[in-house]
Amino acid sequence: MSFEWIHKFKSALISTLPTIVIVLILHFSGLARLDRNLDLVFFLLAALLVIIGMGLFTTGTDMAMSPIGEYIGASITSQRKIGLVIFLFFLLGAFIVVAEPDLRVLMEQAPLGGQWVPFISNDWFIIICIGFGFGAFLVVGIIRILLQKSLVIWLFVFYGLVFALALGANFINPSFLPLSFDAGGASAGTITVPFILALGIGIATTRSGKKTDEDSFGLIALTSLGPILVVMIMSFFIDDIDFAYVLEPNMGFASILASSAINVAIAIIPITAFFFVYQSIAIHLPWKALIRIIAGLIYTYIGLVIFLTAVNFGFLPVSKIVGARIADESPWLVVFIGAIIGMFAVLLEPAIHVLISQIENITEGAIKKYSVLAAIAIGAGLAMALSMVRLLFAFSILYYVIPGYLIALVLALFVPKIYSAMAFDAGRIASGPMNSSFVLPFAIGAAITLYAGSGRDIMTYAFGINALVTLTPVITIQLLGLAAAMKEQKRIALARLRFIEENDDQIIHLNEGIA
Amino acid sequence: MKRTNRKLLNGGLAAPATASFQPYDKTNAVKKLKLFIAIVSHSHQKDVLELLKHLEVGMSFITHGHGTGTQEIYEILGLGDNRKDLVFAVIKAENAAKFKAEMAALFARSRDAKGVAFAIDISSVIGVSIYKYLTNTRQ
Repeated sequence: MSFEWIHKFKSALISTLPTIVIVLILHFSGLARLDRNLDLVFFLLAALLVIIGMGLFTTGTDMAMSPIGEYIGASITSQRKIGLVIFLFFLLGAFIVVAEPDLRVLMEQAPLGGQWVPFISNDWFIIICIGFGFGAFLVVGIIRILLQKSLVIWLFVFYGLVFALALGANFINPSFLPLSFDAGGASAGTITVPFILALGIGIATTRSGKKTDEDSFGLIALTSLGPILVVMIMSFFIDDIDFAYVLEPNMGFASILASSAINVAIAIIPITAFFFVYQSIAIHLPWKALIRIIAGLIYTYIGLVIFLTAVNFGFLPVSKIVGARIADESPWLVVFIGAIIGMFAVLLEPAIHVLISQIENITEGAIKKYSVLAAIAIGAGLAMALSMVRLLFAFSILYYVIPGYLIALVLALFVPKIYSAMAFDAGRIASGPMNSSFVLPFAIGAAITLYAGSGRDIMTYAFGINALVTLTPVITIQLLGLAAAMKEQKRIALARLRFIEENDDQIIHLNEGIA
Repeated sequence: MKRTNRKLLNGGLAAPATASFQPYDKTNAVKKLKLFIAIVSHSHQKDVLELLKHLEVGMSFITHGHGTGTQEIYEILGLGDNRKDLVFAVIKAENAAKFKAEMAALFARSRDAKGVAFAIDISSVIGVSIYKYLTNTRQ
């Protein structure tokens, strides 16, 4: 009998420590002193809650979200009617993304005035459209797995489409551009990621073959292109909206707790309902497995509520203050500290840990957990540094995004497929709740100080971190893969030199030798 | 890559027809090998692998399974974990005592670190290169 959950809490503690240490150093060194000691106490309490929340969440996803995804993926794929399979996966995709809390938080922040269609508010209208896009691209991603087509080529085609549309949208309706990229990142959130990852694994296991390992990843990368395309297409039909950033007042603990409790419930209920209905019709799990899944769902729920509350209550205000103070000291310090904060904050993304444990399980330790984590962290740090440079000089995000994705896609041609699939998934996953509640506020805080009286728009230049955080890990992980592939080549070449001995084909009797 | 392999294989597969052929085990001192098997909790798998690496084991593999212990209530609540890993490794017989001692130390570490470990004699190996690989005596 061993206690796996203790390890979960330990790794949650290890991922939280760097962030705590940075804030403490900044506070006590006087670089970015928090106003009241009480703020510091709140921050430390929040950090403790973050550790508990993340530990519970990762335990819960292991017990519930991942098995649900695997069961459903395997079961739906084995249905004989292709029309039914497509319909069910489409429904599933739409269901799960509409419930994703990250996406709703994003849409609530975007000021979409007016009402485009009767009866539905604009942000819900966009979310529903995104649901269609996500569902459709989930089907696309699954068809790719089933037909055994190259992920890289499909990514080339769809990213080509995205950038062609982006150039058009930049001309017609530029303010929608960051929102569409953000929608892609937000749709790969804390609920969708564990589920879609497991779904991919479940589907890959039903079709036997040697390529199962690489099939398990890459589904998220394709699926989250749906929302980007949908929002871009919408931008052609909608009048240009002036996105103005409004500083939100910090909410009290009780209201944050209440809103997270409701948001997470909305997120979990649809997929749970779908699973229980579907399993009672098609899977028929034993009751013990069902109870385990229910227990896991409860852990997931409580963990996520605690995590989101703590982050929004304790981390968000601290980060904003730190950003503003650092910008006061020196603009270039913003780039440096920003990079460090971005690097360590990504370690706290709950979904990253789900991906990492899936990677470890699937590759059986061949791909090292810490090297992938390091690649993601370096990528996120780089993204933050680049974003802060953009903040200082105020230029369009497309200067980063288009060459960046070109590099990422070209790399994908040379890197072992499993690394590229993993890399594109990791990129999407890197932009989760920590990004929006710790990294982004830092940038906003800095922007408020730097742009005071300059008339530059915070929305245009401070946002877009999301788009970069989804891009840079793709490059760093692929570079890791490239290094691994080169090492492997060398090793194989060496092994090949001396594989067969003279008169190799004989039996050596170990017990009768002359030894 | 495939082409080179086939060429090498053809060279290797040529039957030892010459009269001068002497079986490897008659002309060389052969080292005895054992198949080492350990059944441990999933969370202790890493320690066993670390041990294998430390003692320079060339070949090993892992299969996963579930224990049949009846601590269901822990299982259902996600508090317990009955995943077990079976670690197979080919070791040199001269190292067997060292392995035994190290595994005993591993199991003595805590009450929860329970497991099974044993080694079986291997009577023969096919292929000189395989033998040299397993005994780590390649030139």
